[in-house]
Amino acid sequence: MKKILLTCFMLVFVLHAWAQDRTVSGTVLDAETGEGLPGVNVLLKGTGTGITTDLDGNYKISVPSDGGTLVFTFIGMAKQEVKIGARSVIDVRMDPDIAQLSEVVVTGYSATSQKKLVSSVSTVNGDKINEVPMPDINQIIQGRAPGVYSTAPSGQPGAAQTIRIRGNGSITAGRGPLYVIDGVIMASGDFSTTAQTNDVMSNINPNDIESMSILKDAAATSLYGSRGANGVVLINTKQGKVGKSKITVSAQYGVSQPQIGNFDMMSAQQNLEYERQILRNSGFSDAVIDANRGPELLDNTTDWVDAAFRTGETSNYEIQASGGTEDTRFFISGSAFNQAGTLIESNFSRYSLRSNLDHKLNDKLDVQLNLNVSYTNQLNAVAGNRFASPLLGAFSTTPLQGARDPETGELFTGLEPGWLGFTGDNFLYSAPLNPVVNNNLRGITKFALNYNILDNLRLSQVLNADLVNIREGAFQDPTTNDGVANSGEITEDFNQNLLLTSQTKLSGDWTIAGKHNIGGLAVFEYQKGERESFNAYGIGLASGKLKTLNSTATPQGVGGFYTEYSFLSYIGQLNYDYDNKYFFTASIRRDGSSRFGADNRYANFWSVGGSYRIIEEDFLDGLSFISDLKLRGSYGTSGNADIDNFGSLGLYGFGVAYNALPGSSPSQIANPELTWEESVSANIGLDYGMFNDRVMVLFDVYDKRSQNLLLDVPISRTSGFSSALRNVGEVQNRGFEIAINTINVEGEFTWTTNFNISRNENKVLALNDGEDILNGNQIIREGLPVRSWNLPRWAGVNPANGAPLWLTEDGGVTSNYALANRTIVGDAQPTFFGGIDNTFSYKGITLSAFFNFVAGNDVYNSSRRFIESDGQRYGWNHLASVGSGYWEQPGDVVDLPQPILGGNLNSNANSTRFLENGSFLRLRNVTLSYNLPKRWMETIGLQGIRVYGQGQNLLTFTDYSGFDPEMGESGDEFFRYPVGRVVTGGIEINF
Amino acid sequence: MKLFNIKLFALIVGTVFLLSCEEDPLELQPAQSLSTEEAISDLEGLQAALNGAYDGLQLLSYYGRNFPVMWEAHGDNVYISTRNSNRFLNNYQYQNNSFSGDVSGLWADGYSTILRANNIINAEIESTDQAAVNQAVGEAYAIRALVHFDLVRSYALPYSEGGGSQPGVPYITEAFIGEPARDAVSVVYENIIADLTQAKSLMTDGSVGPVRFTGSAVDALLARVYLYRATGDDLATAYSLANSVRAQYGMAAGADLVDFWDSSENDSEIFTLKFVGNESRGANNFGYIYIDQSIGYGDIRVSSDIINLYEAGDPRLDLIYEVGGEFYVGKFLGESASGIPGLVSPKIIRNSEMYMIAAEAAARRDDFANARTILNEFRAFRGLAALTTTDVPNNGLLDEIMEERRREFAFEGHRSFDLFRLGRGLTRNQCGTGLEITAPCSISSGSPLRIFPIPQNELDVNENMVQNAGYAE
Repeated sequence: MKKILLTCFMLVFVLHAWAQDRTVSGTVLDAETGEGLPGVNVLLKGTGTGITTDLDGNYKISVPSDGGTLVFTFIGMAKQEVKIGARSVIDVRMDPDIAQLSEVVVTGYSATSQKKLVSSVSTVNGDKINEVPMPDINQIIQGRAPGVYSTAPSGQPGAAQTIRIRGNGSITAGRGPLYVIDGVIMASGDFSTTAQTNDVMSNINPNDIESMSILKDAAATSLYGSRGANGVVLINTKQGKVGKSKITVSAQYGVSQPQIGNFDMMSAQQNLEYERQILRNSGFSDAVIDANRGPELLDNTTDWVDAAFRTGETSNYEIQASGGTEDTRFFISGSAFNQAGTLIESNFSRYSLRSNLDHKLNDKLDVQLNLNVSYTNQLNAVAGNRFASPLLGAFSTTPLQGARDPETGELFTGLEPGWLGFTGDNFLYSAPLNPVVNNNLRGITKFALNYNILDNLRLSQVLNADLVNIREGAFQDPTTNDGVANSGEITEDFNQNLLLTSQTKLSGDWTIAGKHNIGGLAVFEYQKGERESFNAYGIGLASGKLKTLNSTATPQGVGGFYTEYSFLSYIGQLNYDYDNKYFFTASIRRDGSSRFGADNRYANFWSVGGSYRIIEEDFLDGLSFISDLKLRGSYGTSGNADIDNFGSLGLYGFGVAYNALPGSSPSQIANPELTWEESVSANIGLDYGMFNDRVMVLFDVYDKRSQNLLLDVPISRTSGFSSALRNVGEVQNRGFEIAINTINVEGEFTWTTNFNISRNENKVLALNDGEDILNGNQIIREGLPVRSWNLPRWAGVNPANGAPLWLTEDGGVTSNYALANRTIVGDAQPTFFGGIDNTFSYKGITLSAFFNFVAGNDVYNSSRRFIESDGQRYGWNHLASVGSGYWEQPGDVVDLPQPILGGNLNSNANSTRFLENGSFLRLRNVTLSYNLPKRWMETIGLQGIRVYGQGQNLLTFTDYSGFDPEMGESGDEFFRYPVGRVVTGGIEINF
Repeated sequence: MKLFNIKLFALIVGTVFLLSCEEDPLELQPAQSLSTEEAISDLEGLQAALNGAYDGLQLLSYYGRNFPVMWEAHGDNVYISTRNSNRFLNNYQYQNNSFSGDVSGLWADGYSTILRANNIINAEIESTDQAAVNQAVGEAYAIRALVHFDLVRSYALPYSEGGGSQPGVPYITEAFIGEPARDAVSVVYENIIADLTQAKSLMTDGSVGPVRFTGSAVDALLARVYLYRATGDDLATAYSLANSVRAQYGMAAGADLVDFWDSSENDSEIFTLKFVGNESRGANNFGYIYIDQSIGYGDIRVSSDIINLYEAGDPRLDLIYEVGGEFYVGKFLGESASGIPGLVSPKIIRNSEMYMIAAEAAARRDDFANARTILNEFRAFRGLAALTTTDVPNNGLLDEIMEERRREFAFEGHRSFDLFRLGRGLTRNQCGTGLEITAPCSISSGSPLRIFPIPQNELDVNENMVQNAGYAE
């Protein structure tokens, strides 16, 4: 049918063409594949004469006898203009329009080009995302986008990543960005209740992503109103392209090695010698020392760190198919990802399917359906608050304790009376018996109907449903220390999160008198989120082999809850540009939310922005060192509504009981005035291109103030509550971002460099009545960064007696910890961070090396504090580094106090002794890939084969003494799951 | 074609609007919570809120565990082993400060429970069953009085030291966020007595105990309060109240003591906080801290001081057991019916206390004849011979009663209060043997450390709050 239609069209044109003077014919080829391109528009410039190529890419067009110019256009390909001259045969090879693809910047409810962009937006392209085998897209943007600080607080596969865009804008309310997939606000974050850490974003297959945009300034984020203040991450999934169908099959396999940095533990021999020394220092006789730490302890020893860690494995198998005609385009993919963590009993796997379809019903109407179903299965390494935690056990259990009974060969449980480990648990026995499992089933369905009222006026209706079902289970075997108190325990937790969105959008653009371009956007959006859960908990198992709640002797709690929220929003945006030189945009969003108090339910957010393309001015013509120059500026407001769904109401909760009768108790204090945090931000940017844009510099400077902070204000306990949520306080984030992208060498051998660096300065401007908020070893105080360290200052070891010393308030030293005074000694947030990516390609070979860096942050090594205890934790294992260099006799000038049984005067109490410089430079990623030559492919009937190898976290340069200087925003490390070093190989075959 | 487009589009958009827009899409109400007014508007809501108030008494920092254990650790019946789980050490060592978690936890849980009671007392209830409403409100008054009593004896000096003019704790009678100052101890006691009197007047005769407050339980608590205050006619009132209450309840005989502590709701229990089988807190169960390390923490062990006080054959020795040469508390092993270690229902007021109050009040009023009679009646329940004036002369009778009280209520959190309210110091004879963690061997009768400091997080936000003497501001 299509063929006939096409032929008819051609006939019409051919007939029409006879009226012209002469004909030109030729073939249009895809430069990549060398095949004919059907459907390419061929136009005689300046006339209405045009034609499309046939199925084999051939065309024939009548042209005037004096020639002219032919224009070849095709979606996704670079436009070509060819002077006809005297030729009668013109063959054209069309290249993919990389410029056009990369230039499109999605800014939320609309898209624009980099050229027209007024606001501050960072983009990360799909090719950077696709080749890194990581479960979570958030892990991949580390160091790639200026102003975006992304860290991995845990190496647990599938763990939640911490993302902060332009600093830490809140104290109590959420600080993570808003996630938008294909134009719709998504559920994001950690919804789990039992698992240690889990991120529902890890359900999204990174290979389905075409590009990510990160919105940073008000001109971009105010469109997201009360939810835009922490920045917005826009994710666009792949869509089919017009052209021949493509099938890509890819496979990746990798191995990962645990990295515990400089945190080496003692061997059994070292441990024995050190502990004998501790006893000796404490004044015990040789007889007592031999009785407690005799050489027979070396008969059955264990390297617990070696036992807790293993070589991890990562694999990913994927099929993608895409293609389309002018009417219908499709992209479908299926993938299976599996990652076995470097710590025993930790695993993550994901199975994902996606189908993105577009169909033009006719010239006016088109529909779109995106479906994504994914299932993840996460096995969590048991957290440090349980005895069975391999992390705590690996570093605390003494190597003098054997893992197995030498007579029977069986693993000890740790409950044996003679067990030497402090946890009373052998994690090698208990960790496999006590799994913590998390399963997410997520379905995202987007349906869109678009109607072109006029050529330049479009109405669309989007419906989206995002459903996340989470099942969690935790088991505690009756024979393990965690389970023994209750003779075994089973906890099951189910919850369902549904987010429904309806979005009605009217958009249009007009050009007046050739130079005035006006664009407008009006959106009505309604969103409703529901969360429902139930959980049950039972104790008393006759055997650890019984795994269901049915088999528990005593049902303990049955719980469940339901909560919901809604947002109702009206959005308007107006864009105007004059002569491609002056750009102006203004937007407004009116947001209402059920989360806020009845007195304060609606608010307006707005922004203005403008840019001036100085490069268009005549006086810059012909200067090679200026090929692009643009000045941008924006100012506006956005909000943060990331608080409890019913935070404003005075509530009675019904979760309590007495004597098996239902009860109720006050659960929340009312605050009918409660409203969002408001963020006011200003941004000035400069885009500067040199030497035909081979050097591009993007510079942004910003000042963002979060006001009316949603703060849990401590109140007198005599009220029955310890704190109340109020809108007080102000935090400022200001800084700059520089990105420099250069093409150093161009040609057959190409070398490009992308560099970015960011600086963010965070400061608390106001708090409730100026009162400090104590936050463990940190303090929140007016005039200081949110994450300021407040610690006693370590002054080393007294050479006279080996006792610890701290500075007192008046500058003297003391060995009495009670007299050591706490002062502000650092900031957990970095001064600078960024990344540098170098890519070299020659023929089909591409090598890229990506480093990221963080500088100027102070991090607290709580793990070391715990374990470098100067004898307090006798009977544990100790850091290898403390085996020497401790005080032995008067006059010794050393760093380590004399180790004594029970500890040396609290020497390991919190102090700057454990505060370290967290700066690091890391070779985050190296990729070497090779596209096998086309001519080989043709002989075996394939479109292409790409093989590659890549490594992650290969090298880290740091002075930090712990596992890994890259940590969560608190800057405090306490036996967290370290991130591994990964080497992966992969193959991608295109059919 | 065009018409088709518009119609289709309008149809879909219209359907969406119909489906998505509720009456007021932003007016959502939570599904598991109610506003305070809605929650307590009828009898059912009132009774649920009352259960919530009893649940407040069960909080971990209060009768759920910490409050009685902190005070026991303050005393001389127990010691904390060098092998311990790092709990309650400050209390045994008299090293509490305003940052101590146990100290701020009790304060917070106490006032949280008071709020629960206040919302019941101040609620406006529409009901046809006024008697049931009155009973519930009466129980709330009793709970409010009990919590204030526990707070004032924990955070303020005993009544006799300052005649009641010394700072007590804020007496809170309504829900509000403020910065209340400390009421004088005398004011707190007056309010407690007023609340208990009001409670009694609202309650129906024949209300069912012991897991809820009854009129008799209110009288029993009132007897204890008068005994602690001991001004004017208080001792006489305490005597008559205790005498009247003790006649209404049974007494567990010596041979039954192990069963008595392995069960709850016996006929000698006056007010017991009931923990049912599904309220297990695992290792945080009440008794876990006492049970030996084969199952429990076994941190807090029995001192030879108390063991030496029992005559041979005293059935109460069955409530102490030995493992590896050290002695452990057997009162809180957990009811064998549930089989959950350490899960017990704390017996807050039991009839033994009425005998002890009556005897003590009589002896302190020099009514030695009655004091001796009641003491001997009580000794008979424990299988002990009556004490004649030869065995214990009248001038030693009060000390003998206090010693009997110590033997009877060992490990139940009474001992330190009893010493301090009588202006006595504390001596730990088992001290420095190497079994215990380092701690003072005696506390003088005037030591400011006998009471807890006001928590720092209260001082920080309440300008009118003053710290107790002997603790850093």
